[in-house]
This record gives sequence, structure tokens and C-alpha cells, in this order.
Amino acid sequence: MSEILSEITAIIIDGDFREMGDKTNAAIAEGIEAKTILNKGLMPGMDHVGIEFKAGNLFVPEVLRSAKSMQEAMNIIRPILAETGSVPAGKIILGTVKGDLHDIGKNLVGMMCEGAGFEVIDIGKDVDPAAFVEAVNEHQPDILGISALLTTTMLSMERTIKALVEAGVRDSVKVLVGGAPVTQDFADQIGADGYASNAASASDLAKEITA
Amino acid sequence: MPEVTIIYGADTKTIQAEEGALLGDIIAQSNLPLEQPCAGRGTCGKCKVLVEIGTAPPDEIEITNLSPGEIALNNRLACRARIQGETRIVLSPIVVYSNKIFKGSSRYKKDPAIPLGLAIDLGSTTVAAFLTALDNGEVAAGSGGLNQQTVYGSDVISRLAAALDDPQNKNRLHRLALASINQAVDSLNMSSKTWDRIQHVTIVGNVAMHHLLTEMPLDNLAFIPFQPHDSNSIPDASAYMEGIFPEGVKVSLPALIGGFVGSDTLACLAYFGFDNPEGPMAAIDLGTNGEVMITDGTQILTASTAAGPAFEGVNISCGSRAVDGAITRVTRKDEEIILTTIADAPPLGLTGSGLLSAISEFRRAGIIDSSGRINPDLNASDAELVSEDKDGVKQIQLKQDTDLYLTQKDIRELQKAKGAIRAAVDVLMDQLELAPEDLKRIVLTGSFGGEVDIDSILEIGMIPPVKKDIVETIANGAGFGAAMFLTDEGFALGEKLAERAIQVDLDQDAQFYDFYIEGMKLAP
Repeated sequence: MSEILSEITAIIIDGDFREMGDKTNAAIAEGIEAKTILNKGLMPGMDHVGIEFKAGNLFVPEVLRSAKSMQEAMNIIRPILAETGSVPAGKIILGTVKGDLHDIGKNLVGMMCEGAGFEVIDIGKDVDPAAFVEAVNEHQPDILGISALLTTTMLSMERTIKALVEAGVRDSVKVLVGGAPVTQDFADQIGADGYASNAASASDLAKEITA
Repeated sequence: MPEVTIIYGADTKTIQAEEGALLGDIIAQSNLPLEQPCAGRGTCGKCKVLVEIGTAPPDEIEITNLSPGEIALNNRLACRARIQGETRIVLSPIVVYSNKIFKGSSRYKKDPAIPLGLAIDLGSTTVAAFLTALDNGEVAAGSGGLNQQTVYGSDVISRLAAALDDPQNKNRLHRLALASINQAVDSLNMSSKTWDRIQHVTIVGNVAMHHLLTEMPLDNLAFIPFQPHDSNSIPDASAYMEGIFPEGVKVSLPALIGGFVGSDTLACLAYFGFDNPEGPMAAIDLGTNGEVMITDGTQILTASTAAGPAFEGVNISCGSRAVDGAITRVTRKDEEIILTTIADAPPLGLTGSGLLSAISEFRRAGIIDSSGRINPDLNASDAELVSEDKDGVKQIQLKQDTDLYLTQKDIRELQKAKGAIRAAVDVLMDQLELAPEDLKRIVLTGSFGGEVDIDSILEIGMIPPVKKDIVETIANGAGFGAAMFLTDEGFALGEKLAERAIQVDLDQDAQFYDFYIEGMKLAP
């Protein structure tokens, strides 16, 4: 059993997404539970990818291939997990602020968080503060992740947090911010709960906050 | 006691000063940077500041050492100016490049009847001025300095943010642009007789530079849709110049193309002959922003892509601007690494060219693989070059017994910049249905592109795979194009090109993302 799980881990690390479907099905055929495949096969792989990404040893194209491998496996095990009532590590909403169309960084955060066992709801880019509030009301997430890539648009982060306060939902969710111009100081200044400088750190932070 | 407010970008200091105190002494108390190497003789001009309000009228020494343009803008020498009443001044870095950017014909000196013009390339980092003979369009000399707006950030977005934040900042950025133009023109060292022959000035720049110079509304540019407020040419722009040019000199701002693609790109299109090309061709202006221009022979497409500052040696662990000792080339012979530096001075750090050269050389040697990773399985002698920094990031030592390293993260910075350029090229090629072999000519220009090593560019795949002999580097494409716009005929050509050229929004292109990811690899 452990052999096929370490093979799944290796597929994630190497990003050989084409091999993932068959390997996942083989694991299920061996009688391995979907939850075990996630926790002992996929997540250790994404963990490793996160560490290597932070050190710069793996880069965006490789991480995307790893994430795609993860997706291949998730497509197979997600329905089984739902059936067996398996609970995700937490729920995260992600979006890029109003006025900003950049989303590669935000997408990476989503993939890393999914790799860490979170349910991720991506509400896209150029998202209005009101739309963030609406999504928080609708999905009741543990974490709201807000992204901005420009010095000009990062000011919309503050407006988004204000809108959450005005709608009375600010305390129901942890707000994490990130993006090229964002710093810890800026995050503190606008009243965010946390900041991460890269996708792997963002998923570490999400784990820490929901632990 | 009067209050003196000193503004240095986002830093503002207020100091109480005696009437008549020396401005330089008050600035020194503020701990904000001010160089005064000539110790108050008024000759070096390094302590130039922009006065907004206050200070006593300039004395003889100041007037002699400031140009008429500087006096018009209320530039003052801090080592001479004295406090009078409430005072507010703006500090900025004054850097004039010691070497001429370009030296051409001196024909204009022999014949004083030749009318002259000035073409200004208002770049985000460098502002350059080109003295041009108007009878035949020949550029005689080019010179320049640092854009003083860098005090509000080296990238244009930070400057737009500062201007949006405070209308006073917006006006300061306008005046800093003019001060930088003054500085660039001043560095041409024109005699007053030469000055008298100047009839026409054209100023080109990217859209942010243009809008900050003219104090146009910035909302459309800083946020979606990221478009100019007004892209039309301004044939008579003297109202924006605050009197820095003598009366009677015509100042024109050529048209913008769209998005962040400005009149500097329009100038490149004109200079490289996009109006009448031999066949499909491409040009890339490589600097902090990369502008890509491609034509299939009929349609002209352009795009701007944020390459980031890696090409300027910024955000690189051992990065350096192009100063003495900056490494411009890294070569490896018989496993020995040879560093070529500016002025042959001891190596300080990598310029953009040095970074590119180092990465392509280590890539060639297999020390870096095509994914950009420092190869974990190296032979014993190569492995000796590789170590880890305190954060566990791998690094390659550039020279023994020095702290000069190329880190894994530096390689990633170049990959991002290179990927953005390549993706922009690929999107435009795709829209024009061009294959690499269709291209008859590729021109690389800009502060980085004008002197880049073509082999390295091809080997890491910053441009599509083409034969080396169709690729050329041309320095100062925008400046020389701006010089073409000094004549009525040239200006009309610019208008026509602005109408024809289409700006492509990369953000809106479904394939940009895939091209960008694919474009990050270090292979042709």
C-alpha cells in the first residue's frame, strides 16, 4: 500500500500529470481509501513542492504541472470524499481586487492551498468589494484571500476590508493579503490578519490560522 | 522662525530655521540625502533642488551656474540659496551620465545657418536629449541623465500611485519630469549660440511619462481599462513646459498608441521603418517595460509587458546599475570564469547584460538546466561553484574569494522577465498568424536591448527561434525616431503610424497565460 502512495507522491513532485489518473485508479482498486490517497499520497507531494518552490528550486511551470497532477487525482477522489463525508482542512475564498486583472499569483495560491487539503473557491479577478462581501455571506469561508499586483490597485484591498466591516462580517473570516507590491506593514496598516510573500507561504499561513 | 518643509519622495521633514540660514545646512539637518561635493562654490550643481515656495532671490553665482531652463523651473543650488519665509522644497537624485550616449556628425558646428532641434526621450529610468540638424535630420549628439522621478519609485506604477494619492505629488512629478529634461539638455553642453538655433523640440515617452509630464487625469491609466486619458498628439505643448525652453521654440508631443504603449514606441516604429517594411518584422524595446512591435507587412500590432527591473540589475542579489565595476559579461574558458566589467574596475555586481550573460553561460555549461534550476547532479569541479546561502537558496559563485553570486532566485527573476517578453511576442505573432521563419528582421532596442548579446537572447529563447543574421541591436531607437518627428514630414509620418498601429491588451488575451508559462523556460 505504501509503495503506490509514494509513487503518487513522486508523480506530484515530478509533475507527470498524465500518469496520475491510472495510478490513482490503481490505488483505489487496491482498496486504499480516498482520504488516505489525499493525506498520504497527494499532500506530502504538494508539501515537498511548496518547500522546493520557496527555495527557488522549483518554479512556476513546474508547480503548475504538479498542481495539474493533483487535479487529475482530485477529479477521481473528490466524489468519493464527498460521499464518505470527509471534511476539508478549511474553506478559502480567493479573488483579485477591483481594477486589477492579474491572477497568476492568485491561481498559484489556490493550487497550493488545495494541495494542503483546503476547499478553494476562486471568485476571479477585478472583484468589487461588494462581491467579496457577497461571496463571504454565501460560502461562509474560514479564510478570505485578496490579491493585487499593482501599487495602484492594492488600495482596493483596504476598501474591501472596510466593506466587510460595514457588512458586519469582518470577524467571521480571516483576511489574508498578497501580491507583488504588498508587504507585512501594508497588511497590518489595512487591518488584514496575515500576509504571505509567495504561494507556498500562503498555504502554510492558511494551515497555521485554521489549525 | 520660518518653517522649512523638505520633500524627498514619500519622506517629508519639517525643520524650523533662522531667516537667512543656508538651505543646504537645513537639508543636512534633515538627514535626507544631498550631495555638496564642491562645498558651496556653486559649480558642481549636485545640490540642485526644486523650490516650491520661499527662499531669497538667487545671487550672481547661482544665476551663473543655473541654466535659464532651471531658473524658469525655480531650481536652486542648496549650497547658495538662503531661507526667506516659509519654505518648501523638493529633493531628487541628480545623476548625469558622464559619457555621451551618442556622438554623430559635427557638421552643424561648421555651418551656423543649419537650424537645430532637440529630440527628448523621456524614459522611466533615463532621460536623453538628442541634438538634431533640421536640414537633413542628422542626429549630432545625444546625452542624458537619470529621471529624477525615481525618487517616487523606479517603476511607473508607483509614480502613478503617488500622483493619485496627492495632487501636490502629481505637480511635483510634472516638475521633476521637466527638471530631468533640463538636466538631459544641459548635459549636451550647448553654447548659447547653439541654443539660439534651436527651433523645435519633440518629447516622446511611454504613456505614464507623457501623462505625468502633462498632468493629465490618471484614473483610466492606473486602473482598468489601463488606457490613456487622451492619446492624440499635442503639436504645441509649450503650455506644459513652464518656460524651460526659450520663447519661440516649438515643443511637440507626438501621439500615443494606447494602453501603456506610448510615443516612444511610435518613434521606434518610425525609425525602424514599420511604415514600409521589406516583409514581416518585429522590434522589441527592452527596459523595465518591454514594448513589442510586430508587423506582417501590413498590420502593425504593439503591446507593452511589465518585464520588471531584472534587466536593469534591480531585484538581483548581486545586481548593479551600469557603474564602474559593474559586470557586463560572464564567460567561461577551460572552467575558469572571466568577468568583464565597466572601466575594467574590480567587479561589483551584475548589470542586466551581465545577468543574462551569466545565466546563458552557465546554461551552456549545463550548470543550469532548461527549467532554470541549478543542476543538482554536477561533476565534482562544477559542484564546487555551487553552495547555499543562509536561507538555503542555491547559488553559483562568480569569482573565487568574493561575495559575488548568482542565486537560484536571480535566475527566476530573469525567467519571469524573459517569459513576459516572449509571451508578448508570441501573442502578437499568433494574432498575425506569423511563424518565426516568416520574420525577415528583428530589432532589439532600449537601454538593455540596444547592447544585448544576441547569442544569449536566442539561446535562452527570449525571442522566437530565428537565424541570428536577421537579428540586430540598435541603441536609442526611440530618441532617433523622436528626431525624425522634428520635421513636419516626420511628424505627419508619426500621425499616420499612430493611426495604423493597434495596441493589443495582453491581459485580455486567452493565450497569454500559456505563452507566459511556456516562455519561462531557458531554451530556444
